[in-house]
Amino acid sequence: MAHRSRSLGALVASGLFMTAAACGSGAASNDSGSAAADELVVAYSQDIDTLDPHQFKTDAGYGVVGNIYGTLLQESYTDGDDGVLSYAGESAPYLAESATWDDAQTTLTFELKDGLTFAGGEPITAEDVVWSLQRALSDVGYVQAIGQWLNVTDPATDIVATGDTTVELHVTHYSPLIEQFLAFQIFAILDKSAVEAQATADDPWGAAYLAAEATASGPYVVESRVPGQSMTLTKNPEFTAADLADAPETIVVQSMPDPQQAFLALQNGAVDVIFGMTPDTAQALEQDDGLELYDLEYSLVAYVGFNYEDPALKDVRVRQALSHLMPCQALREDVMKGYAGAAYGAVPYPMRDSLDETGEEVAYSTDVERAQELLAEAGYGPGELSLTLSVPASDESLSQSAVFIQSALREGGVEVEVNEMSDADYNENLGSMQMFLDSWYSWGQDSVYQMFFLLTTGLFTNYTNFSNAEVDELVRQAMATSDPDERRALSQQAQQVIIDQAPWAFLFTRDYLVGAREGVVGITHSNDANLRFDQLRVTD
Amino acid sequence: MLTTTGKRAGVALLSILGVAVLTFFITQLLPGDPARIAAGQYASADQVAQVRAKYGLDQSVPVQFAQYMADFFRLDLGTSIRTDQPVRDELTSRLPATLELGLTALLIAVLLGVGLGVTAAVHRYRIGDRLVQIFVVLASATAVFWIALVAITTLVNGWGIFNSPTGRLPRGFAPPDHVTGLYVVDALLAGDPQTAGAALRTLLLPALLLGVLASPSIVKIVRSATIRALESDFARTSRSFGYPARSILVQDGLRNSLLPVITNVGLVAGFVLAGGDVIIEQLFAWPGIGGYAYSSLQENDLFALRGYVIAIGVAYVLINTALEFVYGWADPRVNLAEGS
Repeated sequence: MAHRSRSLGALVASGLFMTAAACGSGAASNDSGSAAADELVVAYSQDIDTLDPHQFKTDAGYGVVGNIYGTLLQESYTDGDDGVLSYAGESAPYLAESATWDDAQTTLTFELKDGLTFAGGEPITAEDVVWSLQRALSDVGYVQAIGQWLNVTDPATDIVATGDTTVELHVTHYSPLIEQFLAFQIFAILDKSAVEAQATADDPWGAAYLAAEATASGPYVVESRVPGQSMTLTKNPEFTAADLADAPETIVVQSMPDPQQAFLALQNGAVDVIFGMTPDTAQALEQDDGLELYDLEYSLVAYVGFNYEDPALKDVRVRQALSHLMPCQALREDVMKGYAGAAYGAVPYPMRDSLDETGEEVAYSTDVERAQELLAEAGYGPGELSLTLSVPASDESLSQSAVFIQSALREGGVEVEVNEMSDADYNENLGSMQMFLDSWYSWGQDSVYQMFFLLTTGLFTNYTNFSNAEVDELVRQAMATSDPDERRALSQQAQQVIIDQAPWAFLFTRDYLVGAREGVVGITHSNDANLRFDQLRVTD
Repeated sequence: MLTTTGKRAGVALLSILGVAVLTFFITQLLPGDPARIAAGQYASADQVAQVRAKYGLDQSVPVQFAQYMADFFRLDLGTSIRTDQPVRDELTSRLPATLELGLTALLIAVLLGVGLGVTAAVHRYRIGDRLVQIFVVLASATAVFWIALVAITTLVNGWGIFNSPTGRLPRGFAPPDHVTGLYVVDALLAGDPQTAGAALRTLLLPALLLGVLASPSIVKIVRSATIRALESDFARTSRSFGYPARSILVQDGLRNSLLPVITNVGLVAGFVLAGGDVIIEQLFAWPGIGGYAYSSLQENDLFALRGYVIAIGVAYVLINTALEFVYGWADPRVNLAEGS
């Protein structure tokens, strides 16, 4: 037997320790100290899924798309001296020099600015604009559903180039949404020749190419990407549509899936901005003097949907009773930590033409006695009604809300089973679930748009299967009129019917919560809920 | 020898084939319609049908299976419904991050497991053994998300020992030129010790946590196997010959406890690459295939999920095949038994 003493493990262990110790003293790897002077790191909870402006589904994807592509128009903002740029109520020309309606308000003519080029150096022409808008309205992505609000009958003939830099948009009738929607980056201007060079017979719109490649027409270009981690954008040297002199040189779009880790990274200086914080982390952030919370009010409505095909929920008295049992105030204060507003109906404040002009109205106050009266009228005594409430497990605020609702309804004599589901399972079953907790935001914050998608008969996004002929007709008329006063009146009539019918329990509106290190300003409170990176500034 | 190697390679290939077949049928059972998710919330029924046709999901299951296997033999894992990119490319681009984290964690788990296991065996029923058992209980029972939060709060934000969990490098550092895909190695190969140090300071905390969480089973196996070996006849004989205790521990104790330890290391390797890695990658924003799998699962990205499961399955098969060769090296009786 040969016995030798071996200490390989000890050698490896001490080697690892020595290396780590050496690295621990490395000056270059300090988080905040090595930051480039003009670089901002913006954290999102999801990864960038695609660079295709007509197919993205994540906030991070939209954050990038919204800043590498230019649009004909862009929302105008007013600076409130509080670090937030608020929507000024109109869209202004951006890549376009002008946007002019004819007298009949059926043709909108765009004249492009002189000398515009894509990041690759090719000029931006009217042909690129026409192709880009036609692609947006094609079946290549889901944007087509939004595009119908441009009131274009046939994109092939109604969007035309009448010169090298002139484009006409022919619409059936004027709508205030047309100019507003054209400012959203889903109507991005793409490099037609670059995409068509990569298109195939099976993929005529070049979806595979645009998913990963971009020829920028906006203020930033993609410099590099670490898949699953980050994407680095730098200022587009070819961009002349706006002055970028004060814009950050570099933006790093960082994926931070865990909200608490993102908050710790913000505290540590590893990131500068967090887009879309949870109420818990927002509350913690407010305790830190070196950080700033931007609490942006939106009409992002959280609601419990009642399925009209369910025998018990068909009865309006049951729906109204359940609405009276909802602990709305507790949800706003204890779940949302105060970062939520009141939801008066399906069209809550601050949505355009909302019945609630203050953000304080409540459609169904919490009233257990009234709820029990209504349930008794509908034939349900205490404990005789049992329901299932489905909720997407990935949404922490909704999951917590479900528990509060379960408890509140039990006090009212209604048993509720909470069914937490994966996103995929939940989305698959929308429309067939008995009760479901959901939230919805309509770009443009328009009342008619919101009611059309969520509450008109037979629409695929009408998850409650609500069907009311009066609402259908009022929404149809509102969509058809070009008179803003008439549109508002029609919209508000429909809103009142919906409140009375209670297809949803209207819970609250969720604020968008943006965290930033002190000194970071220029947070855009935009109608598409997206940051304009070129507006971000760092002050002393 | 060649025959044995050929047999093992054949078994490995058959195993991989089995993984591919099982993966297809298991993912068929997943809830949710991938086409619905891919088309988006605004998509009409027609658009969903188009997406279904685009990805071949409108075909019957046997036709889908035949296509899947044909693609599999061409090493084509399909196209991600979520990103519209080839799954194989997406996995390949993320794999080095997972390997860097997983292998470092495995190294830590093995060093920790063997070290503590031997310590416990040598100090059986005494204070050293008790302390190791407390470590095992704590490491087994601690919730990973909680300990990660505590670790980041103290070791990153509090004492500044490690870098923030914002990926593989802190801000201000560019990835090194790609050679192996392992940032620490690539930065060293490029002669850039600062980037290598920064990458290591970012890597070490998630690797330490993953390694510590993976180590208890190794500790327990090493402890019991070493105790058995030290109580064996040959160890007693060595003692009677007057060999030093350290020599007896290493040669009679550790060497003879290697087989079960190697088996366990294989299982732990699977855990750090697949199970624990998914959670750690999420918590530390680590851009590996674990985070990719999590996103894919959330959005029912069928082809990406299949690709991930196949990749992990292949990794398991390769690890186990490699371990069989290691068995032969550690204990020649294994080869003799095969030969006979």
